[in-house]
Amino acid sequence: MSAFQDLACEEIIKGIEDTGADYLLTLPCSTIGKVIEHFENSDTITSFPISREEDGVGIASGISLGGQFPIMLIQDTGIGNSILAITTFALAYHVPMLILVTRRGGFGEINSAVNLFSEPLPEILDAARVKTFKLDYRVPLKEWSTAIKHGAKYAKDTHRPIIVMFNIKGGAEQ
Amino acid sequence: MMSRFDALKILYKYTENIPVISSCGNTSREWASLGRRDNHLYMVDTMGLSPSVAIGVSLTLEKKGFKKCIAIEGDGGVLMNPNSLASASYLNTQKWMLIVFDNECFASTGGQCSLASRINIAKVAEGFNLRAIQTDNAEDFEKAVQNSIEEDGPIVIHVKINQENQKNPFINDDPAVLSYKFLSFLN
Repeated sequence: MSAFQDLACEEIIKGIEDTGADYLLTLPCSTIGKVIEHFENSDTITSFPISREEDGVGIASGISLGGQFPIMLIQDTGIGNSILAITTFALAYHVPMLILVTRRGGFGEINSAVNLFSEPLPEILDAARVKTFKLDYRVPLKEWSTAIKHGAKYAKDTHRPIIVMFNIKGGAEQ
Repeated sequence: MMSRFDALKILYKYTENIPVISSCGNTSREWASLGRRDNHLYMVDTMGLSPSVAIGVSLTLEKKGFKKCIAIEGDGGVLMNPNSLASASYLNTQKWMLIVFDNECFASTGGQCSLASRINIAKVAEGFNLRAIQTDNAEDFEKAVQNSIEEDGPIVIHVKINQENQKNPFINDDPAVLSYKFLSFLN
């Protein structure tokens, strides 16, 4: 793992811890394995795996309705599996949650198909009016944890799901 | 074989103080027609998601007085989101209860056949290591509801129903109001 990825993972861990969230729902991505592993072995937040992002949005919504705060950590491809639940449930019912999304596609991507969804995804989210904040090499790494913490607060304050999306591979804008 | 409405009338008797999340379409409309309550969360879309939402709610109930959180879903909805069965099993959510009304069709869209005519949903649930009760009549359903509410552990009640639908007005409320009432009840 490159130094950039290591440092980014540390910032993401710090950001998640600073939110004071109660639950972390995860689907793996090779780039943030260290983050998932950290919370599997941590008592600060209850973390558990999910099998599909749409189910995760439902579970996270229930946690939020029950008065606790959830974060979901997924790959950007998972938005494709869950955008109906994000819009017609979490957004429509004003359910706060933070969705942390790792970027696929772009420089460093070896998969020959995933770019077809990952590249246009920011436009898809904009069109669906799902508020998304983007972190990449242009945002100093030390600001990432602050952005994650603020993302969680913004979700609570504006009563809706908020996405914070990060390109952990470095390189140029996607 | 009883209708969905017959089954809902039974469930209504035992759930005055239990959070209940109902699937979109006729299920929520018939459920609301029995008398709206703040412990009800009516889904107006997102078919198949009610079991997942109930898992999340049930996780937060561990320190609250509610005995269960109940999701009502149809056969089409469960087959659309079987992932919720995997999650309920993995998390072993003690206060999660799923009632599946199985009429082997998509009743709200005109009765088109679902895949459930060739799939036993109770056995699917058991395949996920969930306890499942199968019933096709009012008496057994009532017993299953009464017993399951009192018992710990995730449980699925799979109910074969006929294809009758009641005519009821659409639930066209602002979803934010629906969730606010439910959230206020829970918290």
